[in-house]
Amino acid sequence: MSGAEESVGTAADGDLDHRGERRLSARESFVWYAIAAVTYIGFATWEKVLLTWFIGPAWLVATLTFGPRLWDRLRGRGSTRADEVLR
Amino acid sequence: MSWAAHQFETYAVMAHLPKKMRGKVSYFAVYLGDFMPDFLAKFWVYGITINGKRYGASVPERWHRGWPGMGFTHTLGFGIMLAFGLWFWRRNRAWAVGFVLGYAAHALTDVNDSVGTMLLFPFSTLNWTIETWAYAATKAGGKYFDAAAYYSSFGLVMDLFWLGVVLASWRVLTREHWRTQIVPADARLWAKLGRRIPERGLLALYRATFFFGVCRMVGWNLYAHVFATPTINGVKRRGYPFDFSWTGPWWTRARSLPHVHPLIVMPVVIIMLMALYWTLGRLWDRMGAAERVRELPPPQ
Repeated sequence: MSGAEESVGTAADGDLDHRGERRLSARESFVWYAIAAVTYIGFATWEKVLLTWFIGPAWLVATLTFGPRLWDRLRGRGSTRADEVLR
Repeated sequence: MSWAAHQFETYAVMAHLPKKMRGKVSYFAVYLGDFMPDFLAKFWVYGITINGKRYGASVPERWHRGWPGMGFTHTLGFGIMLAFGLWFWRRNRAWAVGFVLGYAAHALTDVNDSVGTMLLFPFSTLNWTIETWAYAATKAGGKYFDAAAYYSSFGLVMDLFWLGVVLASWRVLTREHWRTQIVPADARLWAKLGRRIPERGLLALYRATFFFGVCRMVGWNLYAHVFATPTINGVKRRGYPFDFSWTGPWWTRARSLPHVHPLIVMPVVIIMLMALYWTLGRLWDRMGAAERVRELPPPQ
């Protein structure tokens, strides 16, 4: 088993995940899932072609992956281990 | 056909695995098995329209669930055959067993609409249906009308039932469950994905099917009951009317194929499901032994 296999999903590094990215608190997670749901349902109600098995899941993954990263950048807060080091 | 129920049942399967399979069955395989029947058959049911000309099945229900047609894709027999192929190709019980469980969930859930599935294919091409709601995929109505009929009938109850099953087993959606039960069964695949995606994205990927199920249920209900303005029997309405009567809704003709008596369907479905779990339980350890033999280094 590789190092990566061992580290995915483990809580080895407190607030940082296996990629050195910030873990979300339960409250933050809820907000991001809610944002993903509201925006997806909103856009999909307007354009039904978005209601497909690929776009729906991809929408959530993209929101949760890039949303917090972008939000942290906008607030000038590093979200990754590299950002922390550079600051 | 069922809509969000197919998304929710993947989590229900994971939440109710036999004890010895917990943490060892691939969620991706369950998802793939559940997704495969419609992936293979449904694209032609609604068809596509190019330059105003529709290309698709002339009799959607026969193509989707009947024979001749693609109805064999919605049978347990075909799912087992594919799972056998998967097993002989990869010798991976987490995938073979997960795939057949997902496939069975889809094929058995679909007996609820008025067309049903050919449960005993290839031994019989008769469909098995409980006729709980109307199968309403039509050439003229396409996906929109189908969604409206489904979410105005017991189809909506079916989706809510499966949502309730998942919510009753809510731990299946937690990070802890994902970390301890889902990732170990597919460690290599999650690790590969983890090279590019942070943990919160991986967890979102696991929850994505649930998310999609909830959103499509809300989205199509908004369309069917808030935004649509159908004309039914010459009367223009705001939203399609609900009808929770057997084989409803009343405002569409329930499509059907030659089938067995609905009363015998549920007992047979339960027996088939029990037989499947019993058989997989018996095979599980033997498959594990075969996996270990394959992993041994060749003799020097």
